[in-house]
Amino acid sequence: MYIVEKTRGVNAFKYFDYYLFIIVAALTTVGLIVLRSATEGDDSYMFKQIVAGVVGLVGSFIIAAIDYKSFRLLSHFVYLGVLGLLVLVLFIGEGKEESGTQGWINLGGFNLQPSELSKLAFVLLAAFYFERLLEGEGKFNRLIILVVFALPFGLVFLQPDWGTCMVIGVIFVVMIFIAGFPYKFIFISLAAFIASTPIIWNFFMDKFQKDRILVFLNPEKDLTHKGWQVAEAKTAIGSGQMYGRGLFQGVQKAIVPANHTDFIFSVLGEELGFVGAAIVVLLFFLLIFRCIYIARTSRDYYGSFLVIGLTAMYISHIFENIGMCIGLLPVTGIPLPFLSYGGTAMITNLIAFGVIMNVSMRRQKSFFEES
Amino acid sequence: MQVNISVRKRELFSLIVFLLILAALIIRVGWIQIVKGDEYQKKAYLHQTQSYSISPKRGVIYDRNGQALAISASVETIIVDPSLIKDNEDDLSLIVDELSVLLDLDKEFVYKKATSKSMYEKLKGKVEKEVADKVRAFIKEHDISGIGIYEDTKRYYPMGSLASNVIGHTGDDNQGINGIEIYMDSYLRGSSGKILSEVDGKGREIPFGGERRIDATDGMNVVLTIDETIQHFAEKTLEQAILDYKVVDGAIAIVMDPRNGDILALASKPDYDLNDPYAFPKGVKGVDPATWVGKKSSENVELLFSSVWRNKAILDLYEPGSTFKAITTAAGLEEGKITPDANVLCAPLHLAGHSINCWRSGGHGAETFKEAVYNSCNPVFVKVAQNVGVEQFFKYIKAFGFYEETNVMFPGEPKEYIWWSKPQEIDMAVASFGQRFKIAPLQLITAYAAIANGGNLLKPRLIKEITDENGNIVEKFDTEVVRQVISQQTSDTIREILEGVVSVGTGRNAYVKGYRVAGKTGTSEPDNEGGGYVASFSAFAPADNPRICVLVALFNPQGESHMGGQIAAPTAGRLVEDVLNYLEVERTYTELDKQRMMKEVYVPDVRELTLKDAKKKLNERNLGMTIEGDDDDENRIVVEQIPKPNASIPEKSVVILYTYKPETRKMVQMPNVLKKTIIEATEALNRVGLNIKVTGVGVGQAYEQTYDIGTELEIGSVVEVKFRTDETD
Repeated sequence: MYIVEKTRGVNAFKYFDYYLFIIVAALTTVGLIVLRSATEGDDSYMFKQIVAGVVGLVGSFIIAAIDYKSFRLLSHFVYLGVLGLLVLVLFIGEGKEESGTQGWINLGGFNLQPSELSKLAFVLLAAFYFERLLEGEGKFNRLIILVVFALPFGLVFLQPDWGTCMVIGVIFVVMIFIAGFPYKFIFISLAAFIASTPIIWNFFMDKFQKDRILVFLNPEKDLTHKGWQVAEAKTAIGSGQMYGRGLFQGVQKAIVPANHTDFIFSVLGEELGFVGAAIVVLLFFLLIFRCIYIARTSRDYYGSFLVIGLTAMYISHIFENIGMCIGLLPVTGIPLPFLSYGGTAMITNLIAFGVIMNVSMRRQKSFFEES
Repeated sequence: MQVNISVRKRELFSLIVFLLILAALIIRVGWIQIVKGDEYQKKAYLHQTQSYSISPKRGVIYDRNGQALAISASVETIIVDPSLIKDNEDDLSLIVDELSVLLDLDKEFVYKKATSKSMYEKLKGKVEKEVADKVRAFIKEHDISGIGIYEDTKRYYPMGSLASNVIGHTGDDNQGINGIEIYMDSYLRGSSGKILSEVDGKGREIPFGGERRIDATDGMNVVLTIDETIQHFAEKTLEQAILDYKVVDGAIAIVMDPRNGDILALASKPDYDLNDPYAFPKGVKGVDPATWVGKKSSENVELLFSSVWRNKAILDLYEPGSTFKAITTAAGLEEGKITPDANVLCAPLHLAGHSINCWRSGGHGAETFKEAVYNSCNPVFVKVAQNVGVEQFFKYIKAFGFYEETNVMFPGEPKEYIWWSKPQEIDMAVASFGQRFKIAPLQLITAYAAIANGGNLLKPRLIKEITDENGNIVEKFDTEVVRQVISQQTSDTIREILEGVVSVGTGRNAYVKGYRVAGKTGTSEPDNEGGGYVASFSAFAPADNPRICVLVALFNPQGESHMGGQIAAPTAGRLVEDVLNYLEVERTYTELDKQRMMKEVYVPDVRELTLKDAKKKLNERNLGMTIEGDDDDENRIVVEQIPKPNASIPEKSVVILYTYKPETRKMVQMPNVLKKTIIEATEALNRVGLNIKVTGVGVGQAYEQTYDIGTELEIGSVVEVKFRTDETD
């Protein structure tokens, strides 16, 4: 077993990935500014978000400091712990009526959302088994991988948190793809997924979720009720035009529901215009670019899969969130990484950043250490 | 370590996919912000200034004389602004408790509205002013913000059900739903005003005080050609007919001015109360009041649409029957194929394997053409049509407007009428007496108007003009002549012939003393769709200078008769009399009228007078007398008289005078007068010492007597006997 493996320590300053850090810091800063605007008049959101940001950042540094080789073992406990929370939330979960799910555990002042953590826990553990797979550890691993995927997916499904299910699914598909599973296999799973949609539609989705999808498919049909969220968000974004109304000057944003969480992008679009939106998307672009670079140059498969999985998590969030704000995708309540208000999400994203940083700090420096 | 080359490749591949996704997003964002930006900017501007719309006052619908048929009354709408209430959470429970009581709403409903995320939530519309005042007092007392009261309007129909399926009604948002209300909606509606209030960055508005107001533009008024009084006559007459003749599938009556095509009355029964349009429809077959839920059931609403809300006079098709013979007559006369005095033969006719008979078995034999019209002889009309020729005949039908809609300003006029695409001779034969095809009642009366007015087919006019709130005419809808169908001469000739139908022919039951009524009866047989008989009468009057056209159709009468001449003609006659009277058309009595008229006189009080004086007094009134008791002395005092003083009896009736106090009255037996003419019946009654009172149509034969044969009656009593013509089709 190589679970416990000795490696040399790293010089935190020398190997610190400033590039990655600056991108994340920039995104978080923009996020806080836009959040301030979206929640103008009530600073408690801003305050809570900063606390979450600080906690997340400290956590990410701690995580970055521990060589990720030990995650191979630790991730098992994290995974089981999160599974426990996911089961717990089914019984004591609290919900916000409008989202249709019961995904929050009240910790007194702070609401923990286990489904957010589940994505992270899944990536941490799955990466380990994918590594084993690629190192030729037999077919039994495939089954384990499937179980590792199925448990959190199923539990989140039961909440039901359709959006997180989708994110876990995307992460899984991306990791499978990278692992070199035959294309055939991937296409078959895709086909199976599509084929199962009627069953999911009829037996697993509640009215609330169905409505969202129906409204997405026929937006003009119901502007007054379920579809107005998106219509108002689009109006806000569109009215920002090229340069936006200016920070804190947004008007339409007030009408957009959940403008500080799921629809924060609409505030950004309205106040900072296309320029602001493009800068944020560019920052995401750089983040993804950097992450894939880290994955490609990581020390081992484990690092590579960790980063790929977390990158897939980011991209699915970005795509789904912005996509729903501009009417490309159905509304699922997926937050925009580093920008949307939400403590658990913020911490999860920063911890993911810590993990990526961790891998980055310990990767092969191609210039000097070509191996 | 050695990284698998394929993993690197795949990583690169996913990078490209990820970047493409981001590129797609930014392109889409750019599209919305740059290309579509202006559009969204405008949309956002509208939202920026939060607004609450003020309902405009819907225009009034007037009858031709300025009588309001539909008006809008001011009511109020109560709204909440949840964002303002949120800032004063202490008020929330107070608001919920108080408003739910004041407005008679569910507490939960009020709570939901007051805590919703939107800008304005309507709590209750169409609130009467006194209730709104209570809400105002409540707001003032507790100094509450977040509740708004705005004016709104409510439709009110002062005449209730009068002309209901002409006027139509409106829905919750004051939008037209039926009839003129929907057809003229764009005129009546007006445009909404707005109460605007600027919002700050959080979407909180500057409270209600600082609002800007754009007034609503009230709707325009619609003036109908309907005359409220004539409409009332028409409806009253139909109601009586429905009752008398047990009509089960409804009835219609149209009154039109043939000179300009104005529809003066358009009655369609059963109808409904415009102030309660979803109430259980009375007089409709196959509905159970117990299961009636009204508006909540789409089935119920559909039923309303197809029954009481529906104006059968414009929208429903029926077989015109013999009333259509006027059209055949017009074609024959105009084409010169027949003259009123031409000799014709009413005898069974064989055509394409069908036998066409007159309604009277055996036919009428040899007669003149006008007599054939009076007698409504089917075979004669077939021959006339044959002389005209198939092509030419249908050209006339088309010219009279039966192939197309009348273009009356009313919603939903049928566009497809049942006509043969390539009519054969047999089709023409049955069409010549109005069978096996269907038309709308309005089409028929429009054609009759053309016959009556000298040959011009007019567009029926239901809407006279549009006026603004000051009564100035904004738009006028003038009479439109569609085409000249027949010549003035032909028109004159038919008018004369059709007058004969009423004075001596099958339409005698439509006879009105002093007015020259022209018209034609019609009885159509049940069609294969399960309908019943349709008894109809189409008329115009006065015949020499027509002022009105009247069409009465009774659908599926189940009473003692289903014949147009027996039930529709008298109905139309009564309506003609009412309308001409109201229009102050002078009566001119013909010799025939005078003969038929039995002047009624009041019996004078001759009691306590000597026989001599009594006789003198009775003679003055043109009454006869019979003395019971001793009549040897002219100076005997009359002790008792029958009929009693002030009874109304025909001239020449006999008053019985008693010269003694009659202990037992002298009784006589009621004779049989049924089937007797007025003269015969009068003689029969007078013979036994009874007096007659002629009622019913007042022509033809007795069809009802007040007392059964053999009833013991006091001598001198007045007996009512109803007369009408049975010689009718």
